[in-house]
Amino acid sequence: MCLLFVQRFAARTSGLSGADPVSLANYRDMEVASGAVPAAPVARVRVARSMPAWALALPLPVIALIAWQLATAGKAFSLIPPPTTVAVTVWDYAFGGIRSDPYSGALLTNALASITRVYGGFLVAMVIALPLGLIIGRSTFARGLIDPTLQFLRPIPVTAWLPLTMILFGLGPPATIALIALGTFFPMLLNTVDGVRMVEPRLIEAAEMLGTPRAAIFTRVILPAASPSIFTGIRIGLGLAWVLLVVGEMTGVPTGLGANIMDARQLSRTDLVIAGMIDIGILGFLSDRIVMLIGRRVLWWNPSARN
Amino acid sequence: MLATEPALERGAAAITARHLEKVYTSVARNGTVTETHALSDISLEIAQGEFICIIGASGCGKSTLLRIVAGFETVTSGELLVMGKPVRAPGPDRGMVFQDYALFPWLSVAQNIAYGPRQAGRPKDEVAALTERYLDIVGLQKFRNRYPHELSGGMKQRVAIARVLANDPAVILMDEPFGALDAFTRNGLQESLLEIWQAARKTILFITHSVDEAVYLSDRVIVLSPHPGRLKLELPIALPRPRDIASVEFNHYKRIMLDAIAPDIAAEAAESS
Repeated sequence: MCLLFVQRFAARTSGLSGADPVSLANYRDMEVASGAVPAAPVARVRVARSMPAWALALPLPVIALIAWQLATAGKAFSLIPPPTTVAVTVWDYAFGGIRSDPYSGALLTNALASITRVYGGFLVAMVIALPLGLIIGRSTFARGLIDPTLQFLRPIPVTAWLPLTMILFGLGPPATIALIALGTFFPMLLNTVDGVRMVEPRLIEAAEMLGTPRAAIFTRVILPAASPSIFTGIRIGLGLAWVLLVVGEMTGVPTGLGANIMDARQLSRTDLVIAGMIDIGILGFLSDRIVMLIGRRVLWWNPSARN
Repeated sequence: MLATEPALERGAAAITARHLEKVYTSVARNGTVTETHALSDISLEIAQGEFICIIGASGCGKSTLLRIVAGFETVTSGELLVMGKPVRAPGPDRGMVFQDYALFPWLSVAQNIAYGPRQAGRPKDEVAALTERYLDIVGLQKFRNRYPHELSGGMKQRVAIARVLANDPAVILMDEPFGALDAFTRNGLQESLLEIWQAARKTILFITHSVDEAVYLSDRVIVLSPHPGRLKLELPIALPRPRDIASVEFNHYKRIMLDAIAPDIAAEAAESS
């Protein structure tokens, strides 16, 4: 269910070309930038701006943690462990030395396995999606040939591909990589197609009248003009790769953060489930930051790349 | 910035148009074919170094004419020569300045200006020298490393003009280049353009909506009439420069042009109401 939602979200977001998914920070900038905002909101925005970002971001998770602690601590038969227990597990899972069970200090091995699969699937998808998107975006013939089939395949959720992938790729990492590749393929493809199709004809005309050789228009104008949208696709794709990790590791792989979560569920180790969730969240966040930093370096000229 | 030179002697034709026709054919879903006669029997002779303004009510084909000279569109029939050669495709001998600037957003001001000479495969030091020269001419040295989104509309249009000049085109085509700018910026750019034109001796074909702009800038105004787009009036402006926009003579020219355009504007208004 959750996956379905993620897919729909990705499909919708990928329709935006060149723009980052709107975040709160973005929204704030937009409000300040447009002068025609009523007085009261402006004043409120100023207060928000004078505080460091972390001070604004902190209260929400702190309140959530306190509520969680109050709701679960001290109850003998709570199915959900309190955050203090989870914190101990997070530490033990990462560094060991507390619980001394099979998962103590197991984070590194499993995280490395997961990272390999996430980036493996993502790279496989990217290597196919980007060139294909450039071709479909540029050629009406290719669009007519390929696009209808892709549109038909797109709404099929990745979870539905699970049995087939296991038959095709067997039990193990290749199936995981294939699933992640399948799920990340479409947002990257669609954003690339959009990016190429939305290149302003004016820019191509400008390049022509300035003497750009016909064969060079693609690399000198279309590619750079489409790059913000392509980058948005890459960013959504990589984010989605992390989201798909748990499903991807339902293919019977013994290691990996997703596999650990599924095992921990069967062992009723909810604390370990949550620890795994936290670690996936952290890795996904870091991976997105890295992509953002790269994007800011490569697309420094694009105002929407600096939020 | 630029030494003002006397208006140059006009010799050979820069642009020759003979009986240009442009018909757009569109086929609707139900199969009906609609033909739009955008240009009809346009014959023109534009001398080298001449500053021509084209004006007319919407639908008169002025943009189409400019795009045909640029090579973005082809004629249905007729002959079009630029510097004696038939126009087949866009090329660096005909520089275009668009109303919406069309700068490359991923290139800095200096890189935008250097773009044309680099396409021509000129040596690096030559490209650098040209870039410096045109940065100076349009007064954007201080902004050389900025990107288009950091510039005002007026500055963007200066970059667009410099970018075209750096290619040393025979003809500069300008499609309502100052139409999106405020009055002060527009006046400043008109002055700069005249200075550049007088120094560089380029042929300029300039589309405008403004009668004032046409009389202020051009050697000759060409008035087009819509449906189909055809020549209505050619009006040489025999006023010395700099021109006094409040003078009796200036208003005399404005009156002639307004009288020529007024029926078309009235027809347009009647149609849309």
